[in-house]
Amino acid sequence: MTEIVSLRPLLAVGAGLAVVLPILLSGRRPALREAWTFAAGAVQLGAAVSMLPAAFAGAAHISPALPLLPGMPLQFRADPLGLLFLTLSSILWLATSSYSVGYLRSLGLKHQTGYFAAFAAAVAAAAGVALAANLVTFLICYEVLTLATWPLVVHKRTSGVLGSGRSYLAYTLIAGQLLLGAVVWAGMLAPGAQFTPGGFLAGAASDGILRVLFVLLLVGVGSKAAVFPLHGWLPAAMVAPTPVSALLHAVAVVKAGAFGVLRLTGWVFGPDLMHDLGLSLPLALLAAGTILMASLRALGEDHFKRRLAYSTISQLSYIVLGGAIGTPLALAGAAFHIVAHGFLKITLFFCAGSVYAATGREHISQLSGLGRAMPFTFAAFAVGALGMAGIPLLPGFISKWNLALGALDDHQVWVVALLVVSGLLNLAYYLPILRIAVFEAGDGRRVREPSAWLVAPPVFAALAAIVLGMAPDAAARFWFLAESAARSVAAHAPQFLTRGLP
Amino acid sequence: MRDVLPGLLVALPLLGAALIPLLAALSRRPTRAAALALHAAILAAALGLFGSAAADGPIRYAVGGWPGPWGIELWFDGLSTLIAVLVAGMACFASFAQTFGADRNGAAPASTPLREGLLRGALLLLVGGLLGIVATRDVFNLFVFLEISSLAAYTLVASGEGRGAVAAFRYLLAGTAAGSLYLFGVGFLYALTGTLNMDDLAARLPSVEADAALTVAVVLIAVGLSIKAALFPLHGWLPDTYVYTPTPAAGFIAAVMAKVSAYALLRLLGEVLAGTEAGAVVLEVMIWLGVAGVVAGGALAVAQRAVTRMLAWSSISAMGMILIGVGMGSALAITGALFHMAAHALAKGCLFFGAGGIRSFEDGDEVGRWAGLGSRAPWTLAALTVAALSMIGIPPTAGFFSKYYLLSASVEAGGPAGIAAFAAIILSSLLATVYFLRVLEAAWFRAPAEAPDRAASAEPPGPVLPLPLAAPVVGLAVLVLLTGIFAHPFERHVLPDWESGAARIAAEAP
Repeated sequence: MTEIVSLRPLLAVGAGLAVVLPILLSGRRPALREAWTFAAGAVQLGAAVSMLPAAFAGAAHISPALPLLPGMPLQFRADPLGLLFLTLSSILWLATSSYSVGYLRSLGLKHQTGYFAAFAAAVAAAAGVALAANLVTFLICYEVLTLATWPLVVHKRTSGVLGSGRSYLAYTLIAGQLLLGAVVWAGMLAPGAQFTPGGFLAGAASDGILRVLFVLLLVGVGSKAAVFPLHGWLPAAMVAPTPVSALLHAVAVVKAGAFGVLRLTGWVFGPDLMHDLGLSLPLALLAAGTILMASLRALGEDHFKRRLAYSTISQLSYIVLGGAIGTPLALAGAAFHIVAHGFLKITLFFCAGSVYAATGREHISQLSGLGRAMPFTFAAFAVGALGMAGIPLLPGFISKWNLALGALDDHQVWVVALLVVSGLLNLAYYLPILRIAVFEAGDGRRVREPSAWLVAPPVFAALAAIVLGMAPDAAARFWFLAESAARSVAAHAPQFLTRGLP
Repeated sequence: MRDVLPGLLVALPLLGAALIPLLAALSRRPTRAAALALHAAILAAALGLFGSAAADGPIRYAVGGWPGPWGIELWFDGLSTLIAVLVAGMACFASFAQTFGADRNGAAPASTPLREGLLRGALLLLVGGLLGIVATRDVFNLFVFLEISSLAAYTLVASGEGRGAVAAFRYLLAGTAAGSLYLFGVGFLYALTGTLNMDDLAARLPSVEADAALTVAVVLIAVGLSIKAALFPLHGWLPDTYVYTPTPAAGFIAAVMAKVSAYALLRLLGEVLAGTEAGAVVLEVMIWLGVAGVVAGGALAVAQRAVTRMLAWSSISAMGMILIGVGMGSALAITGALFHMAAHALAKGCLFFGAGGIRSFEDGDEVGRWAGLGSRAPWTLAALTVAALSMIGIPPTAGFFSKYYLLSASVEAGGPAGIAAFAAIILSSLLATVYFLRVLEAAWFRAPAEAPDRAASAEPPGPVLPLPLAAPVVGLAVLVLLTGIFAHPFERHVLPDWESGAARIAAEAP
C-alpha cells in the first residue's frame, strides 16, 4: 500500500484534544463552549473525509513518526479499517453533540462544561484508537479513552453512580494493565509492533507464548468490547446521561474494543496464525456464547437503556465472531457491522433519551401510548430495531449476510444457525417495545415530542441507516472500506486467500 | 565552562548553607531572594554540566588539582548529571515552597526570620550533600557526603510539629547504622585493594582473590546503601519520616533523598563491584527484594486512610521498582530505573507539596477531606491528578514510559526473576489505581461533608493552597507530562554513557 506522509491523521486525532482546554475555559458562555465542540467535530470530520480519496485509490495517509520508545514511535495511519471507524465516529459525534445540547438543557443537568470537555477528549482518543499505526499508539489512546469516559459515566455524582464508575474502571483499567503487559511483550518479540495486514507475530515465539500473549491482548481489548465474561461494566455504565450512552457506549468506547479485536485478529496475529494456534474456534465460540447470553438477558430486562446495553453486548460479539472466523467476507462483514451497529444503536439510544427527556420514564413497561404521542421518535426506533434484527434493506442485514457467507467459506455451518436464532431473539426483545408504545393505551397524560434538538438526531441517524442499508457504497463508501480492509488481510494470509474470495 | 561548573555545583550549596542563615539574622526578604537565586544558580550549573556531558562527553574533575587515584575526583556523565539536574531542580521548587510560612491555624513552622534562615540553610546543606554523592568518584568521599546530607535531613525532619522529633530520631538511628555499615564496607575494600577511587577499584578488583573479606565488603556496602534507599525490608524509617516532615522539606526529601542512595547503589554495585561474584549475587537478591517491596508497598498503601501516609508507602513500592532495574543491570533496565527515578521524583514531589498543603489548610489528612476540592481549586487538583496518573502509569505521563522500559527489561531478562518482576510491576499499577483513584474520586466527584466548624465560621471557601505551594504543584505536573512525551532524548543521552562506562570497566579488567 502506498503511504502518503501528511499531517491529516494528526489533525483528525488532535481536533478533539485541542478544544478540551478552550471548552473548560469558556464554561460561563455556553454558546461559545458548544461552538468549540461543533468546530472540533467539523474539523475531525473534514480531516477524515479528506483522507477518503486516497483510501479509495488504495493509498493511506500516515503521520510523521514521533519517537517515544525505542523503535516504537507515536504514529497514526489512515488505513481503510481505521478510516472507516474514524469517519463513523466523526459523523456520529456531530449528531450526538447537537443531541447533547438539547438533552442537557431540557433536563437542566449540572457540570455541563466538564461534560463537553470530557466528551471531546473521549472522541479524540477514539479517533486515536482508530488511526493508531502500532500497538503502543493504540495502547496510549486506549487508556486515555478509559479515563476520559470516567467523568461522563459518573456524571450524576451520587454514591450509587460512583459505584458504577468504580466498576467501569475496575474492568477497563485492569484490562488496560494486562494490555500494557502484552504490548510490552509483543514489542520485545517483534520490534516496532506495527499493525500489519495478516499479522506480524508469526514465528516470533513458541506457540505456547503466543497463545498466552493472545489471551492477554484479548482480555485487554475484549473488556471494552464487553465480551463475556468481561461485560459486567456495560449495563452498570448505563447510569450515564443518555447521549453518553449513545455515543460512547454504542460507538466510541465499546467500538474501540471491538475494533481492537479486529486489529488483534487481522493485523497482529492474522487469520493464518490464529488457525495454526487453534485460537479461531474458541474465540468464535466465546463470541457465540456472548451473543446468546446477552440476548437472553435482554429479554428479561425492563430498564430501557439496560436492555439496549445487553443488545449492544450481543451485537458487538458479531464483530468479534467475524474477526475469529477470519475469512475475507467474514472480516468485511465484521468491519461493516461497526458502521451498521453504530448508526442503528445510536438511533435507539437517542430514542430512549428523548423518552426520558419528554416524560422522565426509564422502563419499557411505562412506555404505553408514547408511540402515538412521539411519532418521529418511535418511527426512528422502529428502523433501529428492525435493522438490529437483520431485516433486508437495513445495514444490519448486510453485515450478517456477509458474516454468514464468510462462515460458510470456512465450513462453519453452525454460525448461520446462530445468526438466525440471534435475529429472532432480537425481534423478541425489540418488538415488544414497539407493541407497548404503539398499541397499548397511555395513561391519558399529555405527552409531546421534545425539542427539535432531540428529534432531529435520531431521525437523521435512522435515515442514514436506511441509505446505508440500500446503498452501502454511497458517500463515504463504508462497504468499500470494509471490503478493502478485509482484502488487505487476506492478501497476507495465504491459507485464507483461496477460501471463497469473490 | 567545563573547568568551573563541576566545582561550583558542589561548592555553591555548601557555601550558601553557611551564609544564608547569617543573612537571615539581618533581614528576611533579601534572604528569600538570595536563597532562590542560589538554587537557580545551582540548577543552572547542573543543566550546564548535563548539556556539556551530552555534547562533549563525560567530564572528569580533580578537586584541588589533585588527580586520581590519590586526589578526589568528580565525575559527570549522562547518569550523574541527570540526577544532579533532578536534585537541583526539585530543590528550586522546595525553596520556593519554603516561602510558605503559616498554616491555616497560624502555627508557623518557620515563624521567625532566623528559624526560616536556618531551615533554608539546612535545605542547601542537604542539596550540597546529595550533589556530592552524585558527583564524587571516591568511595570514602561518598560517605562524607552521605553523612552531610543525612545530618541536614535530620534537621529538616525534626523541624516539624508534634511527632517530627520522634520520626527524626528514628531516621537518625537507621541512617547512622546505614552510614556505619557502608563505612565498614569501604574499610574492607581499602584493605583489600589499597585504593578509594572508583575507577581504580574497578581496575584492581579482578586481581583480588574472591574471599570472605570481599564478600563482606560488598554485602556491607549493599546493606548500608539499601537502608538509605528504603529497599524492602529495610524501609522502616521511611513512612514516619515522610509523613511528619513539614511540607516544603517533605516534598524535597520524598522526591530525591532515597533516589540518590539508589543512584549510589547503581554506581557501586552496578558498575564498580558488578564484576565480583558477591556483587552479582547481591544484584540478583536485589531484584527479588525489589519485587517484594513493589508488592508490599502497594498493598500497604491501599490499606492507609491518611493521604500522606499512603504516598509514603507508595514510595516504598516505587523504590522497589527502581531497584529491580538496578538489579537487572541491562541497558533497558538502567534506562527504566533512571527514568523511574525522574518520573517518580517529579510526581511524588508534586503530590507531597499538594497533599501536605491540603493537610495543613483543610485540617486533616483523610481521603474524605479531599471531597469537593476539585471544584474549589480545579488547577491544583488537575495538577495533582496528572501526578497521580503518572504514579499509576497511565500514558502519556512520565510514569507510563518508565514502567514500559522496566517491563521490557523484565521480558528481556526472562527467567523466574524476570517473570516475577513483570507480574509485580503490573500488580503495583493495579494497586496504585485503587489507592489513587479513591482520592481522585473524592476530590472531583464527591460533595464535601458538612463540617460544622467550617459552616459556623462562614468563611468563603478560598483557594485550597497558597501560591508558594500551588505553583510548584502545577509546575511539577507540567514537567511530568513533558518528561513523558519527550522521554526518548533521555535515553539517547544517558544510555550511551552507561554502556560505554560498563564497556570501559569491562575492558580495563585484565
